[in-house]
Amino acid sequence: MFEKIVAEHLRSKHGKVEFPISTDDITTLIERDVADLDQYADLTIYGTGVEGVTEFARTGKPKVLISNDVHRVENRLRTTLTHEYGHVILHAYLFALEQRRLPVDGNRKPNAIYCKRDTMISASKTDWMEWQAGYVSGAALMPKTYVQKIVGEIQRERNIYGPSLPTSENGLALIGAVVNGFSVSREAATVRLKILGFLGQELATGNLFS
Amino acid sequence: MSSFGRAIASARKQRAMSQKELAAKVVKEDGEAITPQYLNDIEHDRRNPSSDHLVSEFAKVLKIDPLALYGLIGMLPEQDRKLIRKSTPDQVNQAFVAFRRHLKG
Repeated sequence: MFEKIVAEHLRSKHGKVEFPISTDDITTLIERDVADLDQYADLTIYGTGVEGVTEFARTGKPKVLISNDVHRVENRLRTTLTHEYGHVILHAYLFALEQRRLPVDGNRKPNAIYCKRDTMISASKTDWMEWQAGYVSGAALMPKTYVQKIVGEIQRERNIYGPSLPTSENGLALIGAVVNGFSVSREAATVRLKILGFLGQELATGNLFS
Repeated sequence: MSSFGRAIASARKQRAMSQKELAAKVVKEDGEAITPQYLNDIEHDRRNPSSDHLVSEFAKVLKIDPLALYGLIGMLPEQDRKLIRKSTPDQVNQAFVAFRRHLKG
């Protein structure tokens, strides 16, 4: 689903699909589906570590705010933007049905999701909204078909048949290729490769004749 | 359209431009392009364009009537400000009455 959204956006804008997607193209993709994208917002009033906020309206499109601080590291900005886009696409229905009433603290609003860096890439599945948004971030930045292409070449070169351990030489080669091919952090690349089954517990291997 | 920032954001999106692309085309008096952050602040009404030059740059790049942009920031263009400085209060008053009549059509 997200691969299709991203590919269509790139094709309509540039007439072709190439990765890594530029940060600029991510922003125009988000702007297409939100009422407002504030890329340099002061989010300190929502507590420490909040890097992105998606605010839903009862009617109309949501609003996305990205912390001013996130711009210092490009990969961090790309992850935050696509993460919030995940909330925009997947979670608007939750707020459209009725006004959400959650206990809120400080200046926070009940109709908004506040995202911190530490849960942006590796949220647990019990924190399902953050996990889903993190999944979207990975899928938008590293679409499965394009990852398969890059990973497939390395697997052929290195005779890899199955998942590699993230800390093994093969695993590190796969992570490095995804980092370079999609302009993402090592952490984001590792999570994506695990989700797609390219990293994990190595299958039992051995020479049949030894 | 109720603010300068919203007018700029709306015109930019209509032209399928990103903030970074527009910022690179809007050039200050010193020949340097404005930053995407400055543009973002303008679009969110946190800052106003600092000069007539910038207003006309936005108008030129986004193909908007500069007078409409001046209207949104509640300012007269430089040439009209000069005229006002040279005129008597009665002349200014008459000019504004004529302008309002013109707006009413």
